[in-house]
Amino acid sequence: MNSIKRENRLVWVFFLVTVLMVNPPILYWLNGWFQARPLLMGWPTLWLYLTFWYVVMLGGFVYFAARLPSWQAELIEEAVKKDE
Amino acid sequence: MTAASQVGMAVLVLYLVAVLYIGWRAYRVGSENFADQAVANRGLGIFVLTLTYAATYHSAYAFTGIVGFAQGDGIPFWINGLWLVPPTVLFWEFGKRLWVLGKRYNYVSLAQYLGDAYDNRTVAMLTALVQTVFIVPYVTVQLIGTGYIFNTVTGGAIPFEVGAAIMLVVMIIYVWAGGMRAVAWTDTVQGIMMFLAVVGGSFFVTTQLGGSITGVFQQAAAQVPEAFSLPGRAGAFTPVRWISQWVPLCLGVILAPQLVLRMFSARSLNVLKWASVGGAVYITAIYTFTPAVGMAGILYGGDYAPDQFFVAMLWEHLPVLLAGLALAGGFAAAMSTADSQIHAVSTTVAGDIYAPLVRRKPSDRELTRVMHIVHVLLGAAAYYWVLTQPPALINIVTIAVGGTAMLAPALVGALYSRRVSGPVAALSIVVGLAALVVTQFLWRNPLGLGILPGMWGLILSTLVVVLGALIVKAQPSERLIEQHGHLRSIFGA
Repeated sequence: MNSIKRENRLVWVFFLVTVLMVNPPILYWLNGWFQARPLLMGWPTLWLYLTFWYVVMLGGFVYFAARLPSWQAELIEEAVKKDE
Repeated sequence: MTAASQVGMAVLVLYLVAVLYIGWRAYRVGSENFADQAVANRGLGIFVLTLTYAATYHSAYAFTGIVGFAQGDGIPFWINGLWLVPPTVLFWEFGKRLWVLGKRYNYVSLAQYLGDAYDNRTVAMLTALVQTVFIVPYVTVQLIGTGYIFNTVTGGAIPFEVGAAIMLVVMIIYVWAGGMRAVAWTDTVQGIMMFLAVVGGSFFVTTQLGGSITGVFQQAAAQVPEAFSLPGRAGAFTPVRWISQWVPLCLGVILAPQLVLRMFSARSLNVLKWASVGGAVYITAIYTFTPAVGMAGILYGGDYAPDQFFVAMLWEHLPVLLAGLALAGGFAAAMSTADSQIHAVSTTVAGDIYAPLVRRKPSDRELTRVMHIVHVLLGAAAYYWVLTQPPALINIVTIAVGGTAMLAPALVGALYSRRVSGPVAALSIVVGLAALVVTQFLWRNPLGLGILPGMWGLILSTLVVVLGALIVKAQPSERLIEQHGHLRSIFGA
């Protein structure tokens, strides 16, 4: 598998996992915990859980934008110029 | 008018003068070239594109609707995050391809791209119509929001209809004058104001009412514990509802014409990438204290309608100058979306409906004139609905974002496959829309599954594309083959 396809697969698996963590059934499996402990460190437990995964998504987005070779805009634009 | 109202009014007037000045500056550097009016000649930088994306994304909903959502459903309102981060990842994923193709083939809209890729005018026209029709009620809702703010600040001295009209006229002036550049530059200022107003205002209102953020959560957890877990305070968030709410919204919001235009407006791919990242951070972080405001609304909302609570509390509890600034932030939230919508619809009508229908190639000047006419007509239509507020308005707004989601299967089919034909793509849009309208107005909750109308439309639209790709032996257009080759040589996959 070429490296670009491998990178794309990594990106989509990452986002798929983070999206699954904030959706049924996982979210509903954890609902007993949100009911038993509505607050954690003074903030709503459900909100903290969802925010954690949204921050993980954002962190991944930042990381891929900064480090993933196939996302490096300068390289893509070089390829655009070559193709013209 | 009380002294406080006079100060608040002065702040709003200064804000309106400021946006008009920015619009005038944009007019001075712009031209009547259609690409300049539509996408600022593909010249927006990171800072401006980030803020215009975020400000366009967040409407008066950031001040009103989401607080009502949090109050009505409790903490499960934060499903909202799923139509903040994932769509912005898609803004980059779809956007980088559309940006590359836009530069090569001179596209400034989704309709132009899809019509060309599928070599099918019906697909192009359907795309343009979907992106136009569903936006009008959205503009109305923003006007209603600002009319309410005017009314609140002036203690009723300025009727809500007059406030809405003032906002509309100011917007049309600077959109007319400066096109996308005026919209983007005013959005930049409005984006900063909105962020400060929502985050700062939320923190201040909550601590004023409840002593502290955690204090409000503790009181709410004791009084309304059902607000802190699923299915939420109103019992609405079943697993099916959870999924069928966010999936169509995630796709629909990113395919709204005002956001698609921004994919074509970036100066470079680097700008598009980092504006996507910055935009995602902004549109998520702005809601940091919103759950606390929602809970405060439950505890202290009294007779206030849920979506008016935050605005009312800002006016009642902040020092008057800060309240005026915060409510100007509310104005900014509504205007930064409505101006983008008015601009996007006028661009779509001129470039994707008018231009293909006339038999000759219209000049840039002619297209710009058409845009100007649409600014006025759209503004008039939206304002008429402000005055009449037909009962169907809320239903139409509810399905508006779902409507643009019906374009997603056709877009994915064109960007990533060569097996989908133009007629299949067109059929997918029609079937999706039909399912959306039928399940919203005629056959509510088919089969008792609890699936929302937007999801029904998306499921059927996707089925048409998938089955069409498998059954119909599509001959991809020469342009599509060429575009896929181009994309493969650039993106490697």
